[in-house]
Amino acid sequence: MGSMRIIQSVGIGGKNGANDIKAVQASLNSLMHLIPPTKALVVDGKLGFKPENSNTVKAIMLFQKKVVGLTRPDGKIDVNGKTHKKINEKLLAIKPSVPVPVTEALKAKLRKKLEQYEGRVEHMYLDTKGYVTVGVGHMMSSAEEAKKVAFINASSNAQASKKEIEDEFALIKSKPFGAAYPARRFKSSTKLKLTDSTINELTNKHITSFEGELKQIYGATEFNTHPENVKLALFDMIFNLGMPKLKTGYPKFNKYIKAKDYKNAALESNRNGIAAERNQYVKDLLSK
Amino acid sequence: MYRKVKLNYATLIFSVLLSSACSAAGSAIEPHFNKDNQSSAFFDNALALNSASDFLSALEKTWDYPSDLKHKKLGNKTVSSCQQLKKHINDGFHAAKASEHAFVSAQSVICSMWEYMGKFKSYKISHMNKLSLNKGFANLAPARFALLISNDQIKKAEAASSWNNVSKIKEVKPHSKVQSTYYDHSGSIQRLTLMAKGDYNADGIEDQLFFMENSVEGGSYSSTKAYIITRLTANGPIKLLKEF
Repeated sequence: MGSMRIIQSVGIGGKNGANDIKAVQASLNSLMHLIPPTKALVVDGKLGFKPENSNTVKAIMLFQKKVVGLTRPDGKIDVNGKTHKKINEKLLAIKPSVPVPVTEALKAKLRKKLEQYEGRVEHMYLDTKGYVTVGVGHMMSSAEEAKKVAFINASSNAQASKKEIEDEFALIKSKPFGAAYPARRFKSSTKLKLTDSTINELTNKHITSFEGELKQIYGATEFNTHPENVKLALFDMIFNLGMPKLKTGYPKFNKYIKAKDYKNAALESNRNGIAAERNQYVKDLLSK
Repeated sequence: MYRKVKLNYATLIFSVLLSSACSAAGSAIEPHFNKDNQSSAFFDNALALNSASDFLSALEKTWDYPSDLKHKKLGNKTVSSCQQLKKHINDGFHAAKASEHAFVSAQSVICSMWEYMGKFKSYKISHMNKLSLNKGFANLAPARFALLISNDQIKKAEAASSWNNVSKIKEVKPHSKVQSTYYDHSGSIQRLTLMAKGDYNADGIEDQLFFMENSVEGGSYSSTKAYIITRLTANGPIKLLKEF
């Protein structure tokens, strides 16, 4: 973030234009470390009916007290006034975030963890929703989809024919399914499998697809600026929760991630119902 | 004319009295159990469990598909019956592989269900015999029926009056009279199965036990829950007696 630009005053007794308020909220979010225990502000351009009661004005007053050194904070930022200048001074002191792309090394780390938590299955099985699945959670919605995957015969290692894939898909699809049916229950009904390299290839495709979804939720540029450990945490969350649940079921977590307040995001990352070990893994990644 | 109206009125009153009398003062109704008792999760051939005592016996039966557990200090164990699973989970064991956590949790919920179903008794009064697993059920069912994964959702459910109040159900796909899948606006996919009807808390009123399999749209998340509910009056709220 460069500097904060406002056209008119913001805060108690200020003009309070929506865009100016948004600029203040976004800037203060970047300076949260200077005004604890303030929590990330919602960047909505609003101060409410009584500005003095808003979290934004409370954050302005704390900034004036702790950083500007005012003994009597007035909760107002005048254009080019003391508070405005101090905010810009502190913003300039922040090292710009360097975009970190999803590297091959990061993908390899991610694959290892996904295999640990999701399992790596070389044969077809039914997931808990009854979809025919293979590899690291690669779901195939129809026999046609399955035919696009390079299955081989487990006994001969020869490439499986389209008919063999179609038959095996139909057989697995006819089996009972549910949360209490692990992938290994289906092994005795299968003759086909995937090679390690095919499984890795499919997982990489999923990683690319989830990267696109994470960028939709958090913004493409912003996502790239998150540190590697945060990216690993976000990938684990989206792989497990899916985009709709992560986007709509985790409002506080998403607010903290957008504000780069990773410590509070760690506290909100909890997923009820998953292994304690996996929850701790994500919490630790965000707390680093 | 007056006589005819009076007669119809009397018929109506009689019908109302009859319908409530059937549920309020009839003879004992034996517990009823879903034929799909989830035993195929453990056995190649599903068990026929028709009475409460059948479910208690099933807890001791040796599974065709054992499960591996581990303990931080006590090492690894293979369990092959509900009884063994319950003992080891109480001792602090959990799934040996992190990827099988949801599966072992589901086994544990099924075993607990059987234990409760084994205690179901006959009842005399029913206020739930007209319930169907449709969209309306989500307006009546307790908020804890919702798929609660995040802290935000758990908090929301504490203040909500019903399942639909938390989840905003968008679609229900019925599979049978006792099983439907519910889809909400935040990607929850919940398969709900009525497992048993009977008296759980010895008040003579019908209680029902439900099995819920939770998953999400576009993700691998999976969890299971079971609920025992009751209704004390014909149009009263549905009360959650037990969740596990």
